Amino acid sequence: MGSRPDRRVSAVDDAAVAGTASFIVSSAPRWRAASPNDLSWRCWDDELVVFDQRTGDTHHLGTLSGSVLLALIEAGSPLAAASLMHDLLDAAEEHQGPDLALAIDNALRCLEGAGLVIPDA
Amino acid sequence: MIVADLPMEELARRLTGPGLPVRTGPLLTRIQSPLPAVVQGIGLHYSHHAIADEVDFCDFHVRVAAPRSLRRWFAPQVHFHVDGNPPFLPLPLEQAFPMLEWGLNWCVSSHCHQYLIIHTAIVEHSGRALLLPAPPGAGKSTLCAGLISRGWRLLSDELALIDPGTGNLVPLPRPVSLKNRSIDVIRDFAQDAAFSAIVRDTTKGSVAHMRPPAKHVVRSKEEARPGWIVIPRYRPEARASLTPLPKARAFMQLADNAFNYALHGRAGFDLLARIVDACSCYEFTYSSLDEAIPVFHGLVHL
Repeated sequence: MGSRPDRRVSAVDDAAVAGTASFIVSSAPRWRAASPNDLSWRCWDDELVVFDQRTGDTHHLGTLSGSVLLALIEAGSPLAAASLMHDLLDAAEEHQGPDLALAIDNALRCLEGAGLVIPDA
Repeated sequence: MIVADLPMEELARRLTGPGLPVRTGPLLTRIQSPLPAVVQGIGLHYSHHAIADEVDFCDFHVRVAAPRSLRRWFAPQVHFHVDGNPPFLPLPLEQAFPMLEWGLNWCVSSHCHQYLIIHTAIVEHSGRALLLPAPPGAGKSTLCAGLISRGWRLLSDELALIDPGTGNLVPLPRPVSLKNRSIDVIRDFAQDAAFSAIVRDTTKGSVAHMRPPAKHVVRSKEEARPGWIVIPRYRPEARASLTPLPKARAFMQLADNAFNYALHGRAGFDLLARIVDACSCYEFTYSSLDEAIPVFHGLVHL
């Protein structure tokens, strides 16, 4: 048939985000969306698909990860995890208190791995 | 003029000689082959496809022939050439007609980038297209063959061509490729259909082709708007089960099954999003066509 072009599609879902890794939650690191002008996205049923013009990659984000990314894009300026935690209480029904902080931290790391967010220098 | 208008001797003469320009959907392919299996296959499966005028531009020039070497006689092989070049290794001679079909699929998926091309079966009902994207072995061709035998129109059993301008699905009706057990299943289910002989021991196992219904071929210019995305999964002894699929996941299925999504870049992303927006999306598990077909008829009336 012929091979399809090499292209990455990835899923950053909330199951991966709520993993067992332990991170010490700190408000010190601040995060921002990496090159939001290069991102296109669509949201269906609280799940997000995001196209990154820089790489041609397409990402499938679960509710929390998608909310984190959109919050950073909307903010337009770097945010700490604590600020995100405050903003996303409504979007993170499954996670409360320390669980939410851990989940947001994990989400940020996964989004960083996907190249969608970067720590603010 | 259609292929069926040519006497078999004339069909063979033209295929062996200058080639036959055959229209399939929006594409025109000049086919050359001296091989009886290919001549018979075209006579059977492309009987209602239009033959273009000799002066028309052809999208592809393909030739299916035995090599000019000892392999012409010893463990005979067949080559597929497009525009004079062989994109594949040769196959056993008895696989000549399947090779033509696989080669034509390759031509489209590798070159027709004026469309966004998705690896999916696609049928139409009431002006709306049903996309059945799935990996090999999931049962999409079986389902496709079953549906076109029960009132759905064949757009393609393999390749969805999406017009970036309109978002419509462009028909490309060609023979439906069936494999292994699905051959007998469809022969029983569609007893009025025409089938090729079975070709065995291919990389896909046993392969046979089902002729596209004439009334579908003559409607090749009728595009369809997107209607449904259904991810099929054949599971032995499973009851037919249709469950809603989150649209984000449907999007990723389409993107993962698209041949040239990367080439279209952001425009491709936007186009797929439009398609998903317009579709109802499901996963479907089945083991029996008799149970499956009514489920899809039910979709039409929702």
